[in-house]
Amino acid sequence: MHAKREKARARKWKRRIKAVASIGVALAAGTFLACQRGAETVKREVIDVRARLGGEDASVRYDAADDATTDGDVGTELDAAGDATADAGARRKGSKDASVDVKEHRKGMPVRDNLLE
Amino acid sequence: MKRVLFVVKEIEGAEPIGALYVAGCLVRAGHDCKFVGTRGNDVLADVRRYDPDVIAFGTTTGLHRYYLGLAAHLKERHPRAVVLAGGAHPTYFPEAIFSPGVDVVCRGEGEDATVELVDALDRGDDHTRIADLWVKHDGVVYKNGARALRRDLDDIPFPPRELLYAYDDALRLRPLKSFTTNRGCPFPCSYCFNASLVEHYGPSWKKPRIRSPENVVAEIAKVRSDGPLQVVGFRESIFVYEAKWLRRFGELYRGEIGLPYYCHLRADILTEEMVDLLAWSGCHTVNLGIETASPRLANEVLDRRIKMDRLCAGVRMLKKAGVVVFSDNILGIPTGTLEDDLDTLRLNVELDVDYAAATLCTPYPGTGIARFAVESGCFDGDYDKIDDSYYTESVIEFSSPEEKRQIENLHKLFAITVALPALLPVVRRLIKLPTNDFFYALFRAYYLAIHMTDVMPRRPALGEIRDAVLSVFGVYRGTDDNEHPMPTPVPLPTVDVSAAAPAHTEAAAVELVSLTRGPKRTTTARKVHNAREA
Repeated sequence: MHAKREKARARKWKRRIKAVASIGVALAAGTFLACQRGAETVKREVIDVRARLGGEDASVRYDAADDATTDGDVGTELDAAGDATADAGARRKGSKDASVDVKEHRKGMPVRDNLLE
Repeated sequence: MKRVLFVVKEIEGAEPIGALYVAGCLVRAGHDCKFVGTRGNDVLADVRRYDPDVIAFGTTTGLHRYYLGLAAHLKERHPRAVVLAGGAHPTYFPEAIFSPGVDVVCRGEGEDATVELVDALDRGDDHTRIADLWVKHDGVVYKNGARALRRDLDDIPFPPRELLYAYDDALRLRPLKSFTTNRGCPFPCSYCFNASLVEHYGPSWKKPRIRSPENVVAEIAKVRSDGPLQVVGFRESIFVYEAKWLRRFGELYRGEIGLPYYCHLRADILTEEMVDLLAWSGCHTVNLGIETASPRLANEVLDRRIKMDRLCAGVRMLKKAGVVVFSDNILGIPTGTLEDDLDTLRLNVELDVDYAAATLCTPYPGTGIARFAVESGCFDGDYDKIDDSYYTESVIEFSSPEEKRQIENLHKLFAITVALPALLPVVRRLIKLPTNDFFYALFRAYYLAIHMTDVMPRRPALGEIRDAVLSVFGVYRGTDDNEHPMPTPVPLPTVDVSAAAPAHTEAAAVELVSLTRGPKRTTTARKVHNAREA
């Protein structure tokens, strides 16, 4: 019985260590995902602004926005996108969907009776 | 001989035991079966190569959107094949037959009905009068009643897992494999699919049908001889009902297998003798439902018929015997409050549960909780809103959007708080934050860490650890390009066929049904069932 208790206590401590490690991993992952989404939001806003200003073909716009992002033009575009960003901020406050990409998170969630093994 | 292709979305997860049992019976009847997955695989190309006569899939509610979309896509390009839908969703909601692309829906256990169907197709016979099936034929839907349940489970062939391994040998190398010991359940819990099976089969479903210990252990031994096995997972609702069975099972299991196993149980049916036998036989983890700390929600809403003191006593006995306790909890129960969910959290901490899994209450069609949620105004009855996973968002309405958000956040932080009770005082503040990526990542990181090393202990391969960590960062192995929009159902005339009467003497009444969704269906289904019982 004593050995069992000792084993249970050791298991509990190991579990706590895993919990703390999970918090560390989650902090890194959460930051990564938020930044990634932030970059995508900026890209989308640049596209919105260009659409408002120019009205070119959608695929061209997307490519252009891609170039803008990779070429480091985002700063200048961001100035132009000021009002769009404000809109997005308002959306984020008002809508839960804007604060996380649930569809993306869903991919990593365990499925019923189908635990990730 | 007919060729049957089984399409399985999450073939990388636990084995699709139900589909494998059906495949085993088809193989015994002389048909050819093949399994394919969807991630990183072109299902249509497989269909063209294999040229199946029947395309089969089993689906739960939530995943049904994916499968019905894929079924329509495949049927359009391979119209020769009969598309058969089985599993929990068609059992709850046989109206899935009206979805374009689906030809047959199987309700309940599929072994006998599927063999009859494929045999009939093989012989070119009429296949519209087969019990347990709803069949679409020449623009008419034939609705058959339930068949008598097969009592002797030992007579069913072992699931032919080699069909999975033929698709991907990595599935053979998995250290954890799944088994079942019984079918049926005497408990009426309102959130469980068993209720819809009782509605379909009548009270006979409530009497558990149990495999012999010899049969169960023989299957495990066979699986072990085919590939590596480190942990045995028993997947039925309740692993064992009586000490006598467990004693015999333990004798055989210890002698022939001797591996740690994982199982599901109800804490209130445990006795000291059963707990000792569980620990002695090699039980490493017991997954049991605490569900809620509120006796009102547990008994009046969830209809668990459980005494909380007996539940707590069962958990303590397991802890004392050194068995890992993995609890299931349901948050966001209709008419419940955030305080109820916080009480559930505190109860898990107090019981020192090893891993406290939490899910968001999901009103699956055909369940008592769905009826209750609709009647109490907490859910609008639109089942297409239900997500693939009950770990993301709730479809239940609460007193305010803030309360709903807090409950969803609490769900993500539930397990980690039980592991680190020091977090209890800050949880109340944390859940007020907007939903964020950190909460989601934390839920997944801790879930994976504990499942891989503790709940189902095994030596994870380096690749498995890498995939798990990457998945927390949103990077997944392989993409699924088989997703297609779910088609709009098309109303068709239906013919009610009674299972009891012989097919040729049946006076069928033709009626046009509208595609009623939601609680009306369950009422109609109950009326049909009551009439049949009468």
